[in-house]
Amino acid sequence: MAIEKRAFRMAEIATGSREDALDLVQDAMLGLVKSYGDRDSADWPPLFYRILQSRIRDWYRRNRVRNRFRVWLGGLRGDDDDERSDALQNLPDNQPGIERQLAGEDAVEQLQVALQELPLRQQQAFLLRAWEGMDVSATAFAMGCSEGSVKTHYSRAVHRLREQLEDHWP
Amino acid sequence: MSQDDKPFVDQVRQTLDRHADALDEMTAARLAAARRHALDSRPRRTHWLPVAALSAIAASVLTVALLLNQDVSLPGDDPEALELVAQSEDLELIEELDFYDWLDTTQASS
Repeated sequence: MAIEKRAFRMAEIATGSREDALDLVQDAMLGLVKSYGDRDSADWPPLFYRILQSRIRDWYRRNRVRNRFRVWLGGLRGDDDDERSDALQNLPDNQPGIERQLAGEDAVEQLQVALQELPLRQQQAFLLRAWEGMDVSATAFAMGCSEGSVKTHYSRAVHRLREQLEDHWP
Repeated sequence: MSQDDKPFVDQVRQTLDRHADALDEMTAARLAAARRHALDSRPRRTHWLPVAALSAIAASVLTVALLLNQDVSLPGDDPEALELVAQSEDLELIEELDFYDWLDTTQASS
């Protein structure tokens, strides 16, 4: 599978926006070629993910400020936040029953929501380790943090995902 | 990853793979185009070392060729210059005039 597809899905999970995810992946590709175009292409994946994760963190910071401002404005207007309090609980449940095997889009949707609810660093550590198959060292490089932090983030992410999905996944 | 977590993580990976594979054609095309655009903007690598080495070799060859073909003929066409060259003995006489003066005095006194 092409790396850009996985990268796009990672960015989409992180941002919740298709257009923003496309922009981030495109920007990371250009940044990779601009800064490391003379490197051997075998060195590119960890460098690409390092740039992409950095762009995603920047996007997060910008949007956190924007969201705080919106919440503040919403408070002034008297908006109700209950609608977005628990996205996982609000998913449509077409096939009730704790024993059921979720398949296809339903499983994807449950997983996507659970991943989106993780703190960004846990989400990044989990996706790079579990999906991209990076080892702890490469993940630490891509995330720009220590290997100890990667282990902590990853472990917490797995624990939290299992906790969230255990009722839905076998 | 602990062995307890492995089946769960494997399931997550498979689900995410399916999700990425199911990307719509439009988005996949846009991603592929972005990749091509990025690769096209890749700066061409200039191999400066061979260029510098070739330049140095060319400069050396040129220098040697110029030295070998240098015109070392006497200035026969210029009478004044020829006279100057011919008068080199006179120049020596002038430079050692004291010696000849002493020699003359010595011979006269003996």
